[in-house]
Amino acid sequence: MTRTITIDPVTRIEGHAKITLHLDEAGHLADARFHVVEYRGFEKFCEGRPFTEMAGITARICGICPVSHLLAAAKTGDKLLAVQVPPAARKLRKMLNLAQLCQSHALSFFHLSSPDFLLGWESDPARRNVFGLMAADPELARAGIRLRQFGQQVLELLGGRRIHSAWAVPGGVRTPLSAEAKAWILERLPEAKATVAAALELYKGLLDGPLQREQRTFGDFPSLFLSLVGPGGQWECIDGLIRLVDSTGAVVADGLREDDYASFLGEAVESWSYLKFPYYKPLGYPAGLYRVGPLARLNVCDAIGTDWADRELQEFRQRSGTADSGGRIVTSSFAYHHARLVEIVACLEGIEQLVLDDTLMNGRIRARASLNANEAVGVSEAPRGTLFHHYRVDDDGLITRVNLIIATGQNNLAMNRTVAQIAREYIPDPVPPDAGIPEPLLNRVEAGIRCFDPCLSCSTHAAGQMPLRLELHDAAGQVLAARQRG
Amino acid sequence: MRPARCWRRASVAEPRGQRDPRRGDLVIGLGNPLRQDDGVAWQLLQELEDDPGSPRTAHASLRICRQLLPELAAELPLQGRVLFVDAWLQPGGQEPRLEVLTPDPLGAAHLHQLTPAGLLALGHQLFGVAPSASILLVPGRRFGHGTELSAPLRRRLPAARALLRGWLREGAGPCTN
Repeated sequence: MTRTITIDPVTRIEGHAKITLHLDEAGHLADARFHVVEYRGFEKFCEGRPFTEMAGITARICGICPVSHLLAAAKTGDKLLAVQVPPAARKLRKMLNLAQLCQSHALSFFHLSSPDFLLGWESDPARRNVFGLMAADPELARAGIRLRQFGQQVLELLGGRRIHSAWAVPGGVRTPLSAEAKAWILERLPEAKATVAAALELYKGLLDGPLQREQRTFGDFPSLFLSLVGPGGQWECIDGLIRLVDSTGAVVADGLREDDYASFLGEAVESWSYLKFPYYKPLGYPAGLYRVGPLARLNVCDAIGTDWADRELQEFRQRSGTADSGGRIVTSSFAYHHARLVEIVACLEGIEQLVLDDTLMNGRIRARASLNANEAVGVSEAPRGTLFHHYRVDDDGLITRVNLIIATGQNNLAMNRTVAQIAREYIPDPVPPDAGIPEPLLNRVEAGIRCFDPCLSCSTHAAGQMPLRLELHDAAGQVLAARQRG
Repeated sequence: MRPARCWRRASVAEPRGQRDPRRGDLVIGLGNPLRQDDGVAWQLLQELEDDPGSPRTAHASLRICRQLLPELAAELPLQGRVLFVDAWLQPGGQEPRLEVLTPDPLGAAHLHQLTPAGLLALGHQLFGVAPSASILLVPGRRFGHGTELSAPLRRRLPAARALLRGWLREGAGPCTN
């Protein structure tokens, strides 16, 4: 008899999802799928709106990474206006994005993922969360909260609001860096650095010990990696060009412009998920699977460009780089956690460099123009990966078509493969018909998804909350039983 | 699994004993300004911001948010008093009121559903301090999509303002003019 084991809902990620594991007649795992059941509709209801509203509208796709949408929308607007954004504004936008990455990565590590690492996979599920962490290690919890507070406060000091700020606009930004903001940032940076240093020391110790198996089995497979890079192949979070590398470290494509994304990225759909499946077109679907986000950014870049971050990048590669790549590429999806911590270092060092630049307080910060183009694509690096905004507008600047390629969507294929790999590693094979599934095994499957820190509200950008459906399939694909609620 | 020992050796600045130049009172407004009466806190706090004659002095900080986040707990121990302002779903007939709040760990059970009492409990658990706290509840009637406050709530705004400003005046201390 075939059985479908469902883990529903997936806890401790942003948004809602369902995972189904499909067994064949012999009880072997045949397939695993990460279903996204949210549908929101941003791409449709933005039609008819002025493109100048897109920054404010798309920032509301998500309360965790609104800045990413704000920046991508602003950059798209820059091109519709055909303006040259002043250098000071570019740097201010970069500072905003660095703060955004910092606070989002802090949330992911301290609130969403570290309960697993520190409280143990076998600990009580009711306590294996951020509140259990606070009880078990209040120092860690306090430091993590203050690190995230640092990032959020920088967002507020720059943008006027922590969430859904409308500060980045087509042509530049609204206000320069204030003296008060500069002073606050410089005062709090040492503590933020100390926190991530301690987190890295903690994590590396775990990696040398109890997390070795997870590093090996949580989505460790060859794939392409995609991200923005700056001049000289440097780690880049907002400008630059697109590069793809493969698991050997070979550059597959370089110097790609976001305007041409449709020539190298395709978007497939599957009947069982509202999340689209982007893939690298030259390799077809699904062979064109690629990953984005912290792991990809560290794999794709040649260097980060700041001292401490580059030392951490070197260690990251030495610890986890594959033999096939000469230690250059890390293929385990579990390494996303380590990559996030390295990126926090990069962000803090980047913020420190920028805040000392006086042109951010005194320079020109906005270029103004009327509509000068009817189609444009903007890109930025969101915490979870590369984000594309593509708008078509009429001569009045009203949106006629929108396409958003979200970071988490680009990791969709990789998340499915990760779930399958984990399930094969941790679920008995074959699965006896009457066997129970222990909580730690279920949690590892969920945790595999959490490596990608997926933001599902973003990725489906759709409307309303859909009913939940659980199906049991036999080997021929026939539905043996179904239950629906909602 | 015990926490790694390296964490305890880390030199992380502790908020206890730090003097924050903004130390004083903190007013936290909650709600969604796109959901009619749920945006009342935004209205009240914006009025304080815009009114140069308001009793909000340099000792009072304002925070407005759609939902409470754990990071706010880091600000609580640096405050003398905290006031939460929120809409209150009421069928009718109730007036705005000020209630004393005490920490409640059950209100911190879920990151996306953190209550004011839960936030206080979080602050106490993490930083060992729970400031004196109250909540200003403003009865609302309509919570649909929209930015306008309902007529019943607008009629209660003067009473809400009086309670808010009275609370702020208490924290400002006796007038020295």
